[in-house]
Amino acid sequence: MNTNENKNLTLLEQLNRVEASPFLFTRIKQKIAESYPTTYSYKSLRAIGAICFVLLLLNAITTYTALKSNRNENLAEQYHILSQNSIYHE
Amino acid sequence: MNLEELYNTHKNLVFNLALSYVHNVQDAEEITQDVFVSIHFSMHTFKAESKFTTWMYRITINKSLDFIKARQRKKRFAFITSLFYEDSSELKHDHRDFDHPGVILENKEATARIFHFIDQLPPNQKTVLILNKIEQKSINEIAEILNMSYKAIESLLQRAKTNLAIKLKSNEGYE
Repeated sequence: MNTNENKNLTLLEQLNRVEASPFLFTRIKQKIAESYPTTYSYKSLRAIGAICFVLLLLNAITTYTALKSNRNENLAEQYHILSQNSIYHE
Repeated sequence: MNLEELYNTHKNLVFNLALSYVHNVQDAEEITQDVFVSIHFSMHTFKAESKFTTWMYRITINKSLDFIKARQRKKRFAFITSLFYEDSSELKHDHRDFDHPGVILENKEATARIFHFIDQLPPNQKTVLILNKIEQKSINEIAEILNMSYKAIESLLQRAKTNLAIKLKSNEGYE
């Protein structure tokens, strides 16, 4: 390696150390805070999914029961009979 | 040690090493952020078998190389886009000049030139050269950081110097 190339490499050794910006840590904290929701998204998604499933199930049960009782009442009305099992009104 | 203490102890190490790879403050800050975010989330994976600074060096080197790779990919994509859309400003927007704050003004041009050729070296040769010449690390220390043998680092450094000399020599005539 000749002196010219050595001179080039010496330039690298002459680089001064630079101070990092004092505001950089605030940005790092912000980036960490932004990264958190994605870290727990799978868990929260599962919880939301489970809640939705329970709500749908409850809704289905309520609708089914309502429909069933409605159907009984309609049938009773058609045949002019009582929809309840009580004969005597107290 | 919490993250803030870690940051205060090692911020200049990470920032200056990143600066050696990307040569501008904006990108070096972005890499520094990524390094500390990554440290925050992977602190539990650190094994006390190696020194903490060694681990820090490894993360910074990987993040810097990833950053450069992503930038090149973006540039390629922008180039392809510019072929189809004349109005594309992505290519112009992505370009960042050499702006290393650690360079003395009178050396700026020559240092920019040498960094231009260092950037053309393969990543492992570039890393060894940066660690040896800029970070002033011995071959033994580089071997520990890169988890390679002394001989392998010695040969990589020799190849890096030779390749750099060839590139510099071939460019001399064009100045």
